[in-house]
Amino acid sequence: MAQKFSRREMLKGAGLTLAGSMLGSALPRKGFSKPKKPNIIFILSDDHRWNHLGIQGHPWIQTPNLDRLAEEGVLFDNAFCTTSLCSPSRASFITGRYVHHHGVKNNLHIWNNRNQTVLEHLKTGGYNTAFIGKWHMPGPLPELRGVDRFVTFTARTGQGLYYDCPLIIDGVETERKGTYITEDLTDYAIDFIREQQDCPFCLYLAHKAPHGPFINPGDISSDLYQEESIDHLPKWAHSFSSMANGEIYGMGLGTVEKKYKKYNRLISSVDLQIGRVMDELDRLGIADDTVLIYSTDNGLLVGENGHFDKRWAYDQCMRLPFIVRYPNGIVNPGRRSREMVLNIDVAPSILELAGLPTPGHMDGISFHSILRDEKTDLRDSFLYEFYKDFPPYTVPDIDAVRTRRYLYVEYQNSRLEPELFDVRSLVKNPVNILETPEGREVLPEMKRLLKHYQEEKTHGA
Amino acid sequence: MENKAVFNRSILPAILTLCLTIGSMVAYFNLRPYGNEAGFQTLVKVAGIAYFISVAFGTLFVFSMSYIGGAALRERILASLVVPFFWMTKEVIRITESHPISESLYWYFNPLNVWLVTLMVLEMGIATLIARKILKRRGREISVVTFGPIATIVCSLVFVISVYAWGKGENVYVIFLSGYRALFGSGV
Repeated sequence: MAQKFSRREMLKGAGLTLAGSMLGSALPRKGFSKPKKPNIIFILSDDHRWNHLGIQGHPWIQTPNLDRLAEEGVLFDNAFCTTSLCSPSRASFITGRYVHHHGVKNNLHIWNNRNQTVLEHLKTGGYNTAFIGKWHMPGPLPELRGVDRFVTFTARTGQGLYYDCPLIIDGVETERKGTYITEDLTDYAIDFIREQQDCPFCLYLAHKAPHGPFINPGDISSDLYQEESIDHLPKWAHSFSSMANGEIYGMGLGTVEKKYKKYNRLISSVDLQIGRVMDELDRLGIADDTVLIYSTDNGLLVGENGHFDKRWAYDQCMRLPFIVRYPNGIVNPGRRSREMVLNIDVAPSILELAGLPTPGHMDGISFHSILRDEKTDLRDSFLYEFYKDFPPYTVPDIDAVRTRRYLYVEYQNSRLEPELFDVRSLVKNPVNILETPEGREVLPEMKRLLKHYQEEKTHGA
Repeated sequence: MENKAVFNRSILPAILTLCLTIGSMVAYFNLRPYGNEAGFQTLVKVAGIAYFISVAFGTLFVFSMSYIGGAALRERILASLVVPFFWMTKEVIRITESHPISESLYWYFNPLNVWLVTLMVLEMGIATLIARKILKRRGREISVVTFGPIATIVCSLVFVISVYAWGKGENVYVIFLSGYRALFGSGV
């Protein structure tokens, strides 16, 4: 039998309902219903130069999936690594810390198991976690606390192989005959995504590509880019320059033309496999609830000042492709952000997106406010540091400071003189302006900034 | 054999090759793309090719010339070593820009040098056959093909192919790197 209400009761009830709904929209949802935590997928490639994306105006590279990711998310135009070398930068991504804090100084420096990773914090916060791909930090494989699935490789001192690369799957070495690594790792990543039912998940997918040796990928035709011109490369990049000045040890025999096109094919291959992950998210209907971040450990010089390397404090080495897509969390998608974000920002940003506190030991700053399109001034400058690698790489220790406009580089324990650049010239050949009137005017402030960072570094701030 | 003086038979071919190496190297590293792009590209390629050939294949010339001139085996080997050793030393000096002398000296044992020395041995075998052929044409009573040079060629080829087959040469690099880490740690 239907209950009868008096007019007064009905008005009171309507008033309470209205008040309740108004209060509900005014108060944070926390406390009324638990907000759904987003899934997080972080995809890291290796040596992907920042402007080698279709959306960044490269004359012919095809990266339709990364372009789509940027069109549906935020493309960070000023993203950097704080050390442009594989192992140190990877450690910075996963810990949110500078090299002088996490201690992986170069590609031979052993990972310290006391380091806490972002995955460990996410696990504590209720996430299912997976690390799939290139670990590439020297020493025995780490005790990755809080990681539910750990698929990696140790072949070739952790560099892995493009084909038939044995994988270590949760501690068990497994032959992978007939596989191409970028595709194989993506298969494992997709399997992990499919297995997730109840908890939010975080997938850390780290590819070997497009790191050298540059060989044709297994999922892209070797004819791709065959007819393209490399005239857009610096004039220094003539056919043999990748074999001169010690570059031969890293780049091997062969002409620049062939290597460069293979490098670009490897990037397109990474793009293709990212497309598979995106398609799977769409198919499962979880794309809107998933934060997808793409970046790389460092860039690559392709002939600027005669170098084919990543160890120098130039934009070509330290600048990163950096894209974040999160349909349910990004305001005004399809934007570019000019804010300076760093590899050390990824861990604290992921934690904030997951609704977790940022541990005090992390050096990075969350870029969550940029995703919300809030007026933000993340930072005006940052410290770049480099610790010399093993021979044949002759780049000495470096401390550098980069602002939005200038880059000041000091070489430590070296005969090399300091350098100062207007970053607008860095896109082409870096030109040292230290002895110009502009350089002399800017130098004192840049030196002061660097000294400030060096003091912080020395005193453990 | 012609038994020329030691300067003419061994030192001169070595010096000529070394001059080509130094000349092409200086040209290669000092050419700059000022103005004439096409000219720069052509010149730098010519210099680069000359530089590469003088280092990688200079032994063919030096060893055969000194053989024809009547040099003994030890002398031929020493003369052939001049250019590769010069190049290796130049690379070691380059390493001293950033690394201590001990680490730089270790660079003498890098895989590329192992390949270069093996290539030299291969070239010595081939150069012996070439020199003998030339001498025979000049009327010298000499067996061109003998066990020594053939064994040298076969052994060096087998070594090169096996090293390449074993992980496309990358495993040798891994061994070198392991040695570096054992001796010097991470280097920082």
